[in-house]
Amino acid sequence: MDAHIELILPAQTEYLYLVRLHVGAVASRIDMTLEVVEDLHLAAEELCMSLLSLSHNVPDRLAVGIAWDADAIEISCRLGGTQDHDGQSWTNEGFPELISERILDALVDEHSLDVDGHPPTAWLRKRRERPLPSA
Amino acid sequence: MAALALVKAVDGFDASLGYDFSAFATRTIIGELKHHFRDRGWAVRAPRRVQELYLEMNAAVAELTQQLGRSPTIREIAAACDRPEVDILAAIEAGHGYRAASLDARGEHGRTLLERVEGTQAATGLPGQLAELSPHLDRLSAREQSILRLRFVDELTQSEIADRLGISQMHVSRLLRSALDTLRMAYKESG
Repeated sequence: MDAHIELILPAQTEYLYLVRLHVGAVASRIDMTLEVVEDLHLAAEELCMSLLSLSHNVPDRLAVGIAWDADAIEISCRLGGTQDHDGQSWTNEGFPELISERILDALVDEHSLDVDGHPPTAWLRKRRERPLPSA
Repeated sequence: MAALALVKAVDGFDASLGYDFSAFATRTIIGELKHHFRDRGWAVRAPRRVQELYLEMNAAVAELTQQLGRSPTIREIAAACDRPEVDILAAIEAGHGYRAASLDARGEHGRTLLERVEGTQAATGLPGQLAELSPHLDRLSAREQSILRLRFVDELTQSEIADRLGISQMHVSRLLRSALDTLRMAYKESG
């Protein structure tokens, strides 16, 4: 990947619009179409929500990495914070993992969820349509 | 709404001023429609200029999609609207607060949008693959499950779903988001 940005956000769903805005801006830079951008918005939201819906002690922050080159975007998410989560088990209060995976299957090219990790992480990759057909 | 605006234009037209009625009526109708959608269409109120850009962008996307035969890029939409790309991204984000047309509202042929969705299905009932994933999906109506099935089981693209339903791709995006939000809420409430 040629470039990378990382957002550190409070681990709350109301900040996900910042993820959508940055994902959209990066997708625009590599000329992804509106339809792909909107799929990426849904996918990024699902990726983040799959972590934010885990609970044990509420984590302090969500780290979202967005990396890209001319051909693809990768988004990675990691829960983190000042608390030590090592050895803790998380409880999923959101979609079952199978549903999140089904949604991501339809929206992106590759993805992985590790909700049992310490910390839990999630990742996706979406390739650009190439070449863009024209009229 | 447009017909009412036309009546308003007739009432308000002053022929003695020498203006062309059709131009006056067009301006009046567009103004009334903008007011209507600004006042009634937004679940989360966005600034007026962003709301108007969102509506303008919808028209530009429809035109570009027809011209190009594919979904336009953000850069192409920005050029068509003569706005910077960042404004278009803000309008897309604001559009997430735009209330999706009621799934139960009746359209041109007396059928609701979701009846049209269901009409595209070869079989009725629960979408098998989704139903197998979780019993909580029955918290969604059969209609909501149908639109999710088209995207996440049948893996039709948003544009393909839009073509089937005779609505815009952006509208499909809003409906998908709304259905997923409903499903998430169902999980949260049941959890």
